[in-house]
Amino acid sequence: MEMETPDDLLQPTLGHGGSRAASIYSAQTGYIVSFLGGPLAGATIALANAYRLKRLGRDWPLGLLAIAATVGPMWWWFRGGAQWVAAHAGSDSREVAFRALGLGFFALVYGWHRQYYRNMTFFGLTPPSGWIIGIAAVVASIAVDVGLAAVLS
Amino acid sequence: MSGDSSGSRELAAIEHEARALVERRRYSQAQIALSRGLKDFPESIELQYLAAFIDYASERPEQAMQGVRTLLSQAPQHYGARTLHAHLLEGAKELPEAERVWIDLLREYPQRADCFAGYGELMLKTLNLEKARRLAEEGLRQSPDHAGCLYLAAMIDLIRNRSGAESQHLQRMLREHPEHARSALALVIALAAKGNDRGALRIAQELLRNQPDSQHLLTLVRNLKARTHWTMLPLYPMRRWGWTAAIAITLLAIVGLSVGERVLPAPVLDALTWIWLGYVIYSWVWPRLLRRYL
Repeated sequence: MEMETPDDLLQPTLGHGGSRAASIYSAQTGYIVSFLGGPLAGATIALANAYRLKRLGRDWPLGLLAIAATVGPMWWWFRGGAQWVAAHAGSDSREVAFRALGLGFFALVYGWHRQYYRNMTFFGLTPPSGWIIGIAAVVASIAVDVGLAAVLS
Repeated sequence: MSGDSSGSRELAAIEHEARALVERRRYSQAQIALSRGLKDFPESIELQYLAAFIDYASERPEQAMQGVRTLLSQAPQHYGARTLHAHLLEGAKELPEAERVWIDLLREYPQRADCFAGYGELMLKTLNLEKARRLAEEGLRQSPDHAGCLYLAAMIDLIRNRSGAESQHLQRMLREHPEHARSALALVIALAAKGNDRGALRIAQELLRNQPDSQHLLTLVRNLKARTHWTMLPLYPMRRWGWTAAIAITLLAIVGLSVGERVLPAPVLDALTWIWLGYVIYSWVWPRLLRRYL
């Protein structure tokens, strides 16, 4: 018996206008940017990748999560958290916590997009250069952090 | 009349010889047979196709593309030329055009599993995993043991499966097509994904010996050689556990140095800080240098 090919399989996926990318920013870019700029910077790379993968509709909660992971700890920090941390873990713990938060967020993003990163590794796909977006994400997220700190303090 | 039939017989013999040589990957001998044949029968579609295929297989994509375009202008419906065209467009990064050729082929040949495999591989190379999976599934429905579709399905299993080689498709591929180069390639990737880089390297080197012109295999061997080089030993945790290890080591170092600031003498702390910074730089820079050097 002859079987028909499902029609949607025969619809183009890589249309000229919609062909955003054959690869995404590397995990290395995500790691460094998250380490230096925290969750907001990490989310910028993650959402840029989601856009390139045409799955922004599914991945947008990552942006909300990054905002929560930035505003929540900062709010707590200026509502007595700073004193608690200084008493229990030392005065430089804020920096450590910020880096840990950034890397934790990167771990989440990596898990979220793991299949795409593995796909790129297995097929030797070259990622786009992450310098411009990486620097922009770090600078912008630090500026937002400073602004937030001024508002919340 | 008898001159015509002897010419046809001669052409058929040359085509048969050239096809047999191409199937055995004896491209230089096939090329000689084809040059001889094309001199006498320049209009032969089959000889033109085989010549373009040899250019493609010998990694001469420009010549192959030129040959295929000439061929398609004479025989626009030639199946082999169209699939070759799709592969060449993909190699030239003209991805939407390659997709259009695959879709046209699938509309005309909905039972050809190799079209599903070719289009699926294009989808995988453009990170459209779900569509690649459905194409592999559909291709295997048409032809359950098709090597290209099994390879595609095995690669999707490996991409999706965190622990690597637990793939029924890979096992089936190795069982049904043990002689197929793609079986070995899938095995290399599965072994590397499981952390067995030395085993992967041995098979990849063997593959490269059989296909010394393959740029893809050369890159694969170079990467695996770099990963198994003794100077990579300090980076074993990252090689084995990937980004999880990188995060753990970074956090451990930051917390350790932060605690050390309070309990360690300054010279010791400085030394530890420099060691850590050196390790970070080493982990970023050395693997790239090594890949170039090898």
